[in-house]
Amino acid sequence: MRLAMFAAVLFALAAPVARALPTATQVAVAFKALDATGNGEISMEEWERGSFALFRAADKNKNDFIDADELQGSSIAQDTFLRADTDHDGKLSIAEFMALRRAIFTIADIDRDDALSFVEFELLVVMEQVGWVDRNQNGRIELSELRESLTKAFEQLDGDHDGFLSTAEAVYMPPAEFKKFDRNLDGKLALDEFIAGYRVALLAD
Amino acid sequence: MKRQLFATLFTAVSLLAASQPLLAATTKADARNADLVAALQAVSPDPLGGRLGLAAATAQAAATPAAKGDRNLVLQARSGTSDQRAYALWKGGTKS
Repeated sequence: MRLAMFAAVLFALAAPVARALPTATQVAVAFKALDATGNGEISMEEWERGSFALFRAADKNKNDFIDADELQGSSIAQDTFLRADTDHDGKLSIAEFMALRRAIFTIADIDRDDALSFVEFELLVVMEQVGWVDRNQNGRIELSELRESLTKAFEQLDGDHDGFLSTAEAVYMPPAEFKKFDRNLDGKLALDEFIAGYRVALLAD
Repeated sequence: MKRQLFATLFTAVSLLAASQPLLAATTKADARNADLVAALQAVSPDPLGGRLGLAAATAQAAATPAAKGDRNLVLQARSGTSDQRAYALWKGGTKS
């Protein structure tokens, strides 16, 4: 049973990017909206406040629960719903929802400083679509798993499979960041530039 | 009698005037919340976190036993309650 569950999750996680990625401007606007104090990072408190607002927005019938039919039709959301509904009452309470949102924050907090930098938030947005590699199943991205996760993200983002990311394929990335990553200045990102760029950016936080 | 009526009226008007900034602040805060939700939904339409949420929920489900019901927002965050107030109530409830 558990094997079947993990197989289903792996299948869902391996599927190609389901929809277009947000633009760099949209990512920047979302980051700024969450960063209420404007200190350049998102604290757990700010994350929870944003998550609470999302819960209230998703709870369309205002019964203080998210019911399955209040979610959008994606099969991933439905699968997540079933797993996050820890008391199996067929609806998500605020506590279940917040536990999930905190777990997402923890995954995205790669450098474990209890705050999300812009780069971590950007990766969170990407990994919501492409998934990440959690070899040891501890619900975190270890530095040892980062390379594998970024490789997976790169492969999913490389829509034309030419081994490089164009600015259009990395549409979520601010142009300045793309230029910084593009060390040989050829206007596209190779896998090693992509990984090195993120490693440097994450260490610089 | 006339003086008493005037005093009552004056008090009522003063209270109404004093409450306006508070009401305006609540409206402004809720407008900010609406902007926040719109901005978050633009980058991440699934409030459960897409594939990241699925993986997190799977890891959680494997690590924790099934929970018995929990204290929810019921009676705290009626639909008319502002998001700001509901959040404050929920946050206070989780601390107690």
